[in-house]
Amino acid sequence: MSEQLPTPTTESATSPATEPTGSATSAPAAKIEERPHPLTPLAKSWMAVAAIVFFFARDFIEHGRPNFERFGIVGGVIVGVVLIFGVVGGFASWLTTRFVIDDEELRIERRFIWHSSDKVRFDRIQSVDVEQPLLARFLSLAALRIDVGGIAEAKKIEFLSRKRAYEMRDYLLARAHGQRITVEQSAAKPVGDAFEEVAGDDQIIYRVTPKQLIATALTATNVWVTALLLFGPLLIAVRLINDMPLIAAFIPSVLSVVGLVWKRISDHWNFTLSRTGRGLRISQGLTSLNSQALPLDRVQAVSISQSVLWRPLKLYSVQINVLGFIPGGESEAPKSVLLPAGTIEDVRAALATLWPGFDADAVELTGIPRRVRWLHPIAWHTIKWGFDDFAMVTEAGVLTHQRFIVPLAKLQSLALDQGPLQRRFDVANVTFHLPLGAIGQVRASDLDENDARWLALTTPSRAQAARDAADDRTELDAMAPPLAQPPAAPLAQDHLGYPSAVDRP
Amino acid sequence: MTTPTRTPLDSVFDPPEEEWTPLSPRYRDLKRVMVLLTYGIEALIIGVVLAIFTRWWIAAAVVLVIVIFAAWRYTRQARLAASWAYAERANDLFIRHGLWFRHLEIVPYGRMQVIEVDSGPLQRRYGLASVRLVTASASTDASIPGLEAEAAATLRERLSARGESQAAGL
Repeated sequence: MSEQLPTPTTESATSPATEPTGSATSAPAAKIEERPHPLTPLAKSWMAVAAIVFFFARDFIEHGRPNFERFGIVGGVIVGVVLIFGVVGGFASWLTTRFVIDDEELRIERRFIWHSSDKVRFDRIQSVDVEQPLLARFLSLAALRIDVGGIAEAKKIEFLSRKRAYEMRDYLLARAHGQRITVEQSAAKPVGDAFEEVAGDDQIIYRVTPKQLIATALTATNVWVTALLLFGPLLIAVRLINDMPLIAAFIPSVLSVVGLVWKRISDHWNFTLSRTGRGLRISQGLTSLNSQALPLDRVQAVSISQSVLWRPLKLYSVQINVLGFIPGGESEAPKSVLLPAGTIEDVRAALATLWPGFDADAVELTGIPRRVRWLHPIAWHTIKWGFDDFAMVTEAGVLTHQRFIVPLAKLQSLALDQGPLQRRFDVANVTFHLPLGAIGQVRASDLDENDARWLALTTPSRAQAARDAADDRTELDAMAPPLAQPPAAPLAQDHLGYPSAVDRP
Repeated sequence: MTTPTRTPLDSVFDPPEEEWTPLSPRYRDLKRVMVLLTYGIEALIIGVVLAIFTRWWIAAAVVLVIVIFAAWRYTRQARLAASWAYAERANDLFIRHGLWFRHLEIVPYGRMQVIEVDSGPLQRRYGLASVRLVTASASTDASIPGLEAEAAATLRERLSARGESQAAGL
């Protein structure tokens, strides 16, 4: 990563240290170590407090006073344990946590049971997110989450006042991009508030309206398929048996379907993609407002999906595979969604933001050969593949139509395989492998075997050309307005004699 | 574009210029021993359990079925081992295997992050080792089992030299 070091404009007399020198010998000027906000223990351990309150509230409401005899020793022990671990532990860990964010370094010290001192290089910071869980939001607090990429876990500072968290976020992002500014200069810029995470001079690329989000959440494939599978047999059973108690069996199913819908709505409420002075930012969330930076160069692949029920609504959703984010791990912020619900215009805007100059619609797609249509009786007309010099495109699916776009420069390895039935019909699959993430691999199924062989043999060299073209281009800095990049020059005939564009009769 | 002529079966998975390098012949012996071991133990356990809990002839019938299947697997190991091969091309490595389910893995040298050489206890008795390529993708399935230990070591040297010279960023 190229670091520009302009002459320091700060008044700081200390030497500019963009990397942490091990020189603990030179005693720095007295570092001001800060504690997180005093209300942090309350925000962290609210669940323990709420449980205890609930425990006693029942009796309190009934009899007017807490009823200790009912619970006896065991209850007392349980309450004691919850109190100790939840409340006292939260308070103690707050007391023993310090952090330093200033012009020289970012360091987090913890001294509760486990002593740890995390020092993070500014230029190793991949993204800084601001998270506001529910209670913290009421208390005007926010947590800072610093993602250093790679295998290391993200570092969290819980909790700061919201304003301070935004200021620190902006400052850290500026330093991560190589700008040499001080904390005071960064604090002078405007920030967001409790519900809006968009500052004044941000340019909003798109925002998801509540109507779109609710409509897609209710009709998403996983929701209605789950509902069908759960309610279908139950409805039939009720019809046949005509017995009321079975209605009670509906309740868990209803709860799980409602849970699915609610999770989607609450995770992506007011989803906004905006271009700020410091890069691209996604902000979303109903109960827990999350704001995260989108690292453009770490996006490995894109999938555009449309559930069959969204066709009349004309809505799509876009997922991305971001390097370093493994779904199923700690998923406080759903990082792999680029557009939870949007029109085709939003999809085009999303793609144009990711890869300016690439036109997904212009890629010519080929279907599967006639002789294997019977292998996919319902979906044969949706299975297609195609490519240009920038990316591979495949699509498939009837219930959920998905289109995958993989930039060739991000390709890791590829595989060609053929099962016994496929061999009978002279077709094969080509699979493109991607780094670990939401989209692990992309497969083009049931190509004619000669096409499959040709594709497998020529893609590595095309991928190499795409990587070279990407390196030659000036690094696309999301801070600057996007340049209209022309696609790389098309390749001439390769050594196998095939032209670079495949046209099928 | 003219329709390309039909090519013979195997050549769908062949690289255009280079030749395939097969595995060591001892790999076939290793796999045969593995078949005997696994199916032998399985037949033993299942036979004993069935003989205890049901009639002896049920146990005998089931064991016979297992033995027949194991015999078929035993004879098949020769062809299976012959189906494994690799080819080092200019910019990538080809690994092919499989009879019924054929698979060709193409790994560019620049994408290799780690090259592991492993040798289990049984492999060591036969003087064999496996070479495994690790990329950033979890779906990359690029391992070459059953190479002679020396060949594995030299292959790793060659691959890492090429990998370093062609390393590509993520």
